[in-house]
Amino acid sequence: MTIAFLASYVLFWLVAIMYCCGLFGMMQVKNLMRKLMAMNIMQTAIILFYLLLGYKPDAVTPILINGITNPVFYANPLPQALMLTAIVVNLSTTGVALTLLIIIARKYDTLEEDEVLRRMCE
Amino acid sequence: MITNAPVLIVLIPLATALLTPLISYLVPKLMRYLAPLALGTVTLLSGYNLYHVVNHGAWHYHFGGWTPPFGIEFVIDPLSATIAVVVGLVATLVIIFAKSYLPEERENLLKFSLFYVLFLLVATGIFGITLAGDIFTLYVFIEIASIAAYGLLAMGGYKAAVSSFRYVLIGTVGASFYLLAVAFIYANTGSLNMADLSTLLPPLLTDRTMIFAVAILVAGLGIKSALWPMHTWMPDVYTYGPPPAVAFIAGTMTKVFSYVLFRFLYFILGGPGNPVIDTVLFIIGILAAIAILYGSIMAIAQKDFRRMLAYSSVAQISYLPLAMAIGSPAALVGLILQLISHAMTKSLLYMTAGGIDWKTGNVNVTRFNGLYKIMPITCGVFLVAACSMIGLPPTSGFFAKWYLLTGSLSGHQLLFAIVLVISSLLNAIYFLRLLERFFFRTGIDDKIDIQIVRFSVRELPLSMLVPMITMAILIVIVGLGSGYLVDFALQYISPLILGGGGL
Repeated sequence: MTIAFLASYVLFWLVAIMYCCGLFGMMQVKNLMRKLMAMNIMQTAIILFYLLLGYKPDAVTPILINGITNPVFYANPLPQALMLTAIVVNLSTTGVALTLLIIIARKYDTLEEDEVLRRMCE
Repeated sequence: MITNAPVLIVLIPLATALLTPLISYLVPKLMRYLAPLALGTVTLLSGYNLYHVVNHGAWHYHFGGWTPPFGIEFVIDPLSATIAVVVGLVATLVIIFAKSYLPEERENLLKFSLFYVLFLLVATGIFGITLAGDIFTLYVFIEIASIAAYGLLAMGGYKAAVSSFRYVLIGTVGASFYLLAVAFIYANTGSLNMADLSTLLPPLLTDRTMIFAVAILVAGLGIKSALWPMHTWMPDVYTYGPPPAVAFIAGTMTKVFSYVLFRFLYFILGGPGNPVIDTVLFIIGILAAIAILYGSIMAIAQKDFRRMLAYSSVAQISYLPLAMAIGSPAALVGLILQLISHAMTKSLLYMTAGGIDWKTGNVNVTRFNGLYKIMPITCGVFLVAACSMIGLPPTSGFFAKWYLLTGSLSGHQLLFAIVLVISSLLNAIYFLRLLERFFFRTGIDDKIDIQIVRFSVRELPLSMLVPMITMAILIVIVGLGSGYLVDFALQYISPLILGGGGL
């Protein structure tokens, strides 16, 4: 019962809180690097959300075992498959963002947003 | 081969993008022609698609022989095929334009080829968005287009890197909203296929989770399509990005996201009539009306030519959500016409901005006095684009606005009609002001005080002039042929819309 309660209720709230932390961090933090990290937290929360959707207690990997064709015994593979793609997307977004941060840091010598914007206007 | 035309539209730019660095290393001379050739082929293929679809009805292309809702499919109907043709045309012309803008030296070869790679990847993503028949496939293509665009727009220097980084953050929030909405939709319906969802989703819209899903979906796509007040990334990005890249991205990308919003609201979620969708349409209609006035007024206040065009984009893109909010058949025809017309006009305007910058090294509108004497063809082309923006016949912009206006009047949406008219007046203010500087004003003592930084050719190189002139001619052709266009392709859209649903 406790596991079912956890899986159906508490975990979803934790993921929602994690997502909001990321979103809030992106708005609130002034350092560009930290903004990027908050963005990653937000993206990870979505991945966890998808995985929770496909989660089933006592389910096995969806490979045909002993001729059992009843889908109840198998985990849903689709969310996992989707999230493999989403992880690649997150990786490339982070890669692009880090590259841009290197360019910004080399030119402006800082990653504080206000400072960068001030030097940009000079 | 021709039976695989839908997938080739996406595959050809993707394959070319991956091959370009190798070819730039082996045969540098070939590289310049590879990307235009690939995009030209894709345009022809999408033209064939349009022809096929108009004659034989919607084309469902199943991947690997798996039928939906289990398999992935591309759906080509007259609407998506038309948009693919327009995107292809803009991409081809802009990439020809880009040739002279990029450095000639061999040391810059890598950077040079990277521009083509990213440009082709953005094109891949945008073609994918127009054709995808699956909401998760759509997400993947959205991210391909966006990530490539972040890189492409950052190539304009240090300021571009900063503005592009902010675009990364905001764009990712938009995409993550969309992905979250997909999760909710999948959890509630168990399907990701658009045609499947169009029957499954509308009955579920009374559910609170689904209303939340629709809300974040609209917010996510609103961020991506720069709907006010989520437009803040756009002016900086369009100002500092490299001009050919901006010409393509400003022309097509935000419009394609509006098209996705249109697809969702009118095709998948069932269109007006449902209280939830009506509320959404009302809200985006109000936001769009504010955006149109705000963008136009801000555009008047700008001194930087590119920033002026960016704010003008904020206003012009909002015509599309406004048309969705009006919702009468004429307004929806106006929506498609505005999409086509603005894609061509805005990319032409950014090409003229890029051309003027290339020749004079100047983007400040107060120093354009008497430009006509130095760059007559560019100014002529700008005149056509400005007419289309203001909405003067015989350009395409006039017919788009005409349909929007008649649509809003027949739909009894007086407020929106008033906004449309005021917006045209404001557009006229900032474009006529520029035209006056170009054609009638001169500097102090009748001398033209424009400096020229490149003397190699008389005006602009042929590879810049030809795409610009072609685009201007296309704008007039689309304008004059808009009646034919409506009969040919768009009449198939409106019954679909009126019937509600059905991809």
